Amino acid sequence: MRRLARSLYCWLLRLHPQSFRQEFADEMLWIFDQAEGRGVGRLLADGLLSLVRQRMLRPAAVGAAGQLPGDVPVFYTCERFLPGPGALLHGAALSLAAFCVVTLAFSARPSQQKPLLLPGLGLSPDYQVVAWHGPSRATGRRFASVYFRLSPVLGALDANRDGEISAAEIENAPEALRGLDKNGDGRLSAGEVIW
Amino acid sequence: MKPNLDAFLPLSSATLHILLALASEDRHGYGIMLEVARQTEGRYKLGPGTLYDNLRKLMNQGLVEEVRRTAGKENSRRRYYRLTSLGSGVLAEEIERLRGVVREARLLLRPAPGRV
Repeated sequence: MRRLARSLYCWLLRLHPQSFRQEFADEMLWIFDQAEGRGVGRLLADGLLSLVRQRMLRPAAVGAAGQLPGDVPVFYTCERFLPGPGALLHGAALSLAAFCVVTLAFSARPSQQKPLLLPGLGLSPDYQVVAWHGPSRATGRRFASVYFRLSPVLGALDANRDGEISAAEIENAPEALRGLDKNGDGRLSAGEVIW
Repeated sequence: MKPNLDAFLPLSSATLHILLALASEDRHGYGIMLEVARQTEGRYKLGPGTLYDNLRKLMNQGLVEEVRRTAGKENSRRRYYRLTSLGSGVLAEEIERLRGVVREARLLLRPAPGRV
């Protein structure tokens, strides 16, 4: 119960504005650790009130309209204030929209979609690694190269970083994948292959 | 130029108690909470959220300042706070104002002769 209350208090502190958190969160948590019994409930209530007060009544350097002095939008600054949850949500939506637009742009010409097949594997095309479907082979290779670098699994398989997984690299795949198995349990978990 | 102390008055309860707790010595946040509880015999309990919100405001106003001091390993993360001369002046003015309030209240609340 005590651990649960502490976790809850930590979350309350994390939701405070960054500047306040950086300055006082450690001490507030230390004080929470000193509390006993019913004092814990009172401190949780105090933490919640503090959160509301800091978010609603103490905009600090960030104005009510989300502007810094001089009408500089908060989102475009590298100040010590993090963007609020709303700005992060907008950023995520914009990123998703941009990703969709780029994806559509590259796949909008079905007549030119030709899979980039890896030659000489002796496999039917269905089982060959398709690096990229796109309007041009060069563009596809560039995109695949970036995509392979971003994906830890593909990056491990693509030993020479050329954006393709060659026959030799496929043969070496078990070894390459074992290299990602950080805890050596013979299995790859999401935590081991996450970016 | 002498600062206009009246601009800070009246002080809120939390502000008054924090300044009062720092009047005798420099204290860290938890020390201020304990001192406020002691001074009020446990009737006024200051939460850390209220405390640090007020401390930040007081530091911005120049009434309180943070003190750098070397502490033992256990206290290395603690930050100490001190009343500035401006803070002392404001506290003295507030106490004087409260003295007037108490004096007036005593006069008004004194039972009139012959009244039960």
